[in-house]
Amino acid sequence: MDYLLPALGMVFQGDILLIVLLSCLFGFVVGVLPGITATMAVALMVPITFALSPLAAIASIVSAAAMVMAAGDVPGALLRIPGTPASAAYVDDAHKLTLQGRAGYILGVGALCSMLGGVVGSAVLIFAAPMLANVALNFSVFEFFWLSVLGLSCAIFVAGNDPVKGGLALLIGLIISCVGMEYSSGLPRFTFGNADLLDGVSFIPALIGMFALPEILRSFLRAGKDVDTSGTRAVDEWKNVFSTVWGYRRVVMRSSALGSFIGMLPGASADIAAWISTAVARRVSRNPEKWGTGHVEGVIGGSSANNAALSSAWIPALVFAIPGDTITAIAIGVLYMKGMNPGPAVFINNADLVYAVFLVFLLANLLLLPFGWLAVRIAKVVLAIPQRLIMPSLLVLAVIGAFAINNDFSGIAVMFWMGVLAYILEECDVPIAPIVLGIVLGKIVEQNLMQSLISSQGNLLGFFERPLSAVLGCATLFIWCFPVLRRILRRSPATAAA
Amino acid sequence: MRLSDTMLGLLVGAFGVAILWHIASYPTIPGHYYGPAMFPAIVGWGFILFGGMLLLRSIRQAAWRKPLLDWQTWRNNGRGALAALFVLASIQAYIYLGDLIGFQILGFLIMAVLFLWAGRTLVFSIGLAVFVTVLLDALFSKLLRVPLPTGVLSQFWW
Repeated sequence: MDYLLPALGMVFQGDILLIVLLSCLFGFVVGVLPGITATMAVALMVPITFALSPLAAIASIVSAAAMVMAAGDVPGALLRIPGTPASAAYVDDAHKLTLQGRAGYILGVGALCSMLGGVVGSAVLIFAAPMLANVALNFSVFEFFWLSVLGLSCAIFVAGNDPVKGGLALLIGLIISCVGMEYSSGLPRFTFGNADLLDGVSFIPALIGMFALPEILRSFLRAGKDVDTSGTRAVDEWKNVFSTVWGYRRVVMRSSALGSFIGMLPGASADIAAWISTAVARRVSRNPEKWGTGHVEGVIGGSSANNAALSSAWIPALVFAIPGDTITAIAIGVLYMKGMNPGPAVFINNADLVYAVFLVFLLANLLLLPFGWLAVRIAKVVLAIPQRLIMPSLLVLAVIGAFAINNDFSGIAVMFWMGVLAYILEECDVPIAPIVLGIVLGKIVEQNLMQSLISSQGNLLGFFERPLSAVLGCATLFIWCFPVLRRILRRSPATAAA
Repeated sequence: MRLSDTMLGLLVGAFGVAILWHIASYPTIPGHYYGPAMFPAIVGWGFILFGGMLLLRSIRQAAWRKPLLDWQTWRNNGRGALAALFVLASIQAYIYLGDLIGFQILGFLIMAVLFLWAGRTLVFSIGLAVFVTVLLDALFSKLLRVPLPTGVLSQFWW
């Protein structure tokens, strides 16, 4: 509480509020445009936030991400093209309602539920993060090592339905994190004499490349015309929106809680939160037969869960410096650049800043509602911007952004090669998100591993000596063995029967 | 452009071997088994393991009969492939010609060509390209004070 007043003073300043508003506007436009994910929007925005103060930079990321997530519902509802993967979970019901002439209604419900979910997620963040940080202050390198390995392992299993390719993506991220001077000995690894690589592969240009370039290439390679936006008229129906959401208040609460929980897990993103809570809402629904015919319950469940997860994903990022999803992976990079090193100590060293960031979370999520109102009015105009006019501009923005991070042409080269790699990998159904987590977590895992080995003189039992690290270590080993165990358990009844 | 799982598995496995071969020359800390080569070695073995799993899976599903490389999206769409190649070439142009010609002219040219490709009129394409160029330049070099290379325009640019 001691920090609340100074934090309020930090947030309620003209420039911060202006930046929050501008980032929301940027996030809104980008979220409405199909094919631009929240991660891509944030990655493109980081070079722009570079010149800002730490709070302004984080505030812009938080507000843009929240807005992209909420605005992603708009093209999903109007065109049946989800704006972000997270809104794909409930796109069918939302679009059916549009076809019934109730576009304004479903956009309103989406905006209101996004706001409610986001506020619940922010509240969980505000209360859980400092408590966890208190516990985490007692952690040694061993616990941090296991936590980061646990984060890596979760990243594989939740990345998609193919753990082999998810694991492959993670390994690619890990080997990229090895590039540059080694942490304990200063030996340059995998630099092949290139001085630009001594500091490692620049993270933000790599992200811009991986998330923007494949999408730009695909937009040109896609055969056929741009999307048809005729018949996307939305009529205002706000009165029904509030009564509907009140009627489904239990779904909102349950999905927000579920979304917050999923968001906290390292590697599990808002996309997964939306899918799981839509599925849960369907299973416990009173009228499951209405689903798929334009039923509002799934939209309520999914859109509150994805915004809740977006906020709570910051818990592992702030407390353990372990990203919960790709957006927080970027945020961790920005935090380091701004001297606000994430970890339990951030709540002591930078407490006022942390609480100011928390307030920005609340503010950005509350802004979702007025922007939802805006969405009903201007969605048609934004949707009418053809993708083939957006993508060339984004290409130039991506190049300038990759250059601007270090004022260096090597940033553009990194962006190019990482983009080509990501394009080829995505064509082979290899997910990109684990690569990002691998790049961020690789350095953390290796540092903790080396520190642990040095402090235990190379004795591997040291990793299990402290009670907490033993628990975390066993949990990690269990997750690794789980697929094998499951296979054995599944097979044994069959062999017994034979 | 799609590599088959067989091809992917082979490439990944070979990459793992290459990593292990490369790090063999790294120095070790005397008297200890750990050093700068340890973590890359774990990752290298991981590549071999996961590449092997992919290969094993594709052998089991007889997926090795599929073409190793599928070019359909590029070959059947000449116009789109041309634009995609132009995108890649334009990024390279920034790297090698950015200092010489300047970001503004390059950005303008790239956008104008791609707008024309999208079927817009010449006047519209040039107009929009000029507008976006000035907007982005104002954002980065004026508002954020990132000095973008101006190249041949350095005499005239604001």
